[in-house]
Amino acid sequence: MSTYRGIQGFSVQNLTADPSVAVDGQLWYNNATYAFKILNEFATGAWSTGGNLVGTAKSELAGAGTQTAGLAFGGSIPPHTNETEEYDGSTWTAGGNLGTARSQHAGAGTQTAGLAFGGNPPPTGSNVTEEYDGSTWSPGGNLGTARRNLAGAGIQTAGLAFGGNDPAINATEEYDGTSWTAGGNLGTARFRLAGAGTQTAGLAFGGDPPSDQAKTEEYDGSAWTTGGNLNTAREFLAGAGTQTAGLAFGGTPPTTAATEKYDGTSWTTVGSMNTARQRLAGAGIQTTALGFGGSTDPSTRTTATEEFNSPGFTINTLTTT
Amino acid sequence: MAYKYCVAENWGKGFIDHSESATIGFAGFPGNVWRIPANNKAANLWVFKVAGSFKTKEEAQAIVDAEVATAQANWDALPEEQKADSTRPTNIVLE
Repeated sequence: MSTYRGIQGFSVQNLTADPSVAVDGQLWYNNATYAFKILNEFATGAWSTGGNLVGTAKSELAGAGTQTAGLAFGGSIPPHTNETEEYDGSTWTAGGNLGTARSQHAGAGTQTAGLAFGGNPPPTGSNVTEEYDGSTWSPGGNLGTARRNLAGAGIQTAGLAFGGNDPAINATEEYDGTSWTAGGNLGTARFRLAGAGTQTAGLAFGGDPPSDQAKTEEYDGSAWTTGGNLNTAREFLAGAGTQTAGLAFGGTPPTTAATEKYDGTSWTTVGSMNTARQRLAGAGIQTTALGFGGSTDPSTRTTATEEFNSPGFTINTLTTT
Repeated sequence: MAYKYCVAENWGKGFIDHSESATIGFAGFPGNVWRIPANNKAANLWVFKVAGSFKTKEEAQAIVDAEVATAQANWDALPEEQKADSTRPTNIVLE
């Protein structure tokens, strides 16, 4: 007969609290709660619900920061909002409003050093840049090329703006904390794309026109080169992570919950979002990402937030009789 | 796969945890409508956890339709310049 000790190599531990470190399938007895507990790991990652946005339900917003220190700003309600919200890993709270209400813009940076650039109005879009210090937005240097539906990456003092508008453009610009200067053009002009990474190791993926919805490009600080294609071609998606550890999620058409991770060469499908959505925003890294806002169709907006963890794990209580 | 539907308000953190997401496979829709697998114990336990209310497919579709109709009416009332910058909500058909 198989035994737990025979399979795992050690006996079931009798603990006063759940362990801070455990492995998939590890079983223990918590003598404080009088319950057997088991850790279940999901190697491909999984999304769970996070705290809902507390402001207006919005799509075409932008994000920055991390899963436990996220930043959401702007968006379409419609028309456009200047709302900013800060996430602490559980709850969103109102931050300082953008100076310019906008949607279809891009973001970069952190919760206490954020960057907002571009966005509406159509058709040419905006060149307005704003910098966030954790409480207040203040004006930054204007983009050289006004645009909307663009993507961003990097940090407040080393930002990257690329693509955008309708029809698509391929222009890339680099921000130094004061002004934008031209970088290498995207190989494929596109808009409604997503971005990740840094100013010297950027990642662009998805977007419109339809023929380019699966394309990925990698930036080295001066030029873009072709990367592996997304498995689910899409636009109006969100991104997180880095050039060698990226994450793509959501998008359309049709509205999708599909999530993929990038390893610097190819995309692999992982656990889907619980609510399919498009025109959402993202933050964080590949293993701990945040998706928030967006719409379940082009205009049915949501305040829902989801947290991605890879590997994800939960501690479950075993029922014994 | 056979599905069933429930209505449950997403309160945020803890509403769906990683284990439930990975083992159940949710699809969320407007109106707090959630599609879950039929004949699935984990899904049934989740509905109990969130105090969800089971709905027939027709009832769930009616809730979604009402939400979309409201969104469409709101969109129809927008000024023309804002309509030009967005897309009218489309109908959602539940599987």
